[in-house]
Amino acid sequence: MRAKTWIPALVLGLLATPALAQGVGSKVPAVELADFTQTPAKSFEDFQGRAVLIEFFAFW
Amino acid sequence: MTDEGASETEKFVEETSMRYAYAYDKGGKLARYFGVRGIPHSVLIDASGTVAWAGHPGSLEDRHILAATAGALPKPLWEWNGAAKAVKTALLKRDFKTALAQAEKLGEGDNGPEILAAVQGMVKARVETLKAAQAKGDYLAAQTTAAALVKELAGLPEAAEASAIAAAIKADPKALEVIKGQQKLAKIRGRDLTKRKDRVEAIADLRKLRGEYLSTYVEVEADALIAQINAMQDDG
Repeated sequence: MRAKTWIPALVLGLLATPALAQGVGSKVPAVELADFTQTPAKSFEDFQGRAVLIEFFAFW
Repeated sequence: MTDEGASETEKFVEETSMRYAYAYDKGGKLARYFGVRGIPHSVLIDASGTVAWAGHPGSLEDRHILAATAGALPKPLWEWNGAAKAVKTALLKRDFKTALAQAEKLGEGDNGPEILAAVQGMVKARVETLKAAQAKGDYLAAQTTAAALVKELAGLPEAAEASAIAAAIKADPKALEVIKGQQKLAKIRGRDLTKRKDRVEAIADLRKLRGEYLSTYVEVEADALIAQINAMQDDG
């Protein structure tokens, strides 16, 4: 069976200081995310060549 | 607001039976890059590493996912073992010539044809992204992408295409002037816009820049950024 070709990845973080967003069509910069969990990936580079859905979330 | 540590996060993950991969965006750098101002907020990145869609996860549609997964690798790099490991190593080094050569050696049992097609698709998608940037007059992106592709695609025919586009931009005074404008615009984009007076000043600067670069991609970008800042003001 073909593996899924996209991976939902949740990103925890502080809400950003208001700034202007990079839009659709822009290249994603070198991403520095820490402590990947529930995945064998060690860095964002490991997702290279795959479609990735990042969801920013927080809880309180 | 999340500034809890790992112990609280792990508790939350366990309580909600969340099974997705997660990581920490320490300092909110990535959220800032994407201009996240409310949650939940999602960003869909396609197989070539380009932002394909962004917004509230509830508005994500199948067509967005289908478009983003076109040409994606059949399985993630960490699952590439055995014979496919050499392809993985080359991809992580962004050495596409070696990746293609190694993929060609793979047999059916190692998903060789699928992996080869996916790596070919990655090369094609990168070149198409570059051509699209040049075609719409986004010379800064085209220049940056071309420089990267000349290295990443070294030894492949597509490297010559990237090289030709880089040379064409370098020889075009109008393109170089647009790049200067885009660099000025990038500085405005990076400003902290927490205070209203900073937003007003940014809009004034963008309007001035827009006026200096009418009918170029700077005008397009300036309009988009002004709209974003106005939306911030609407939020108060």
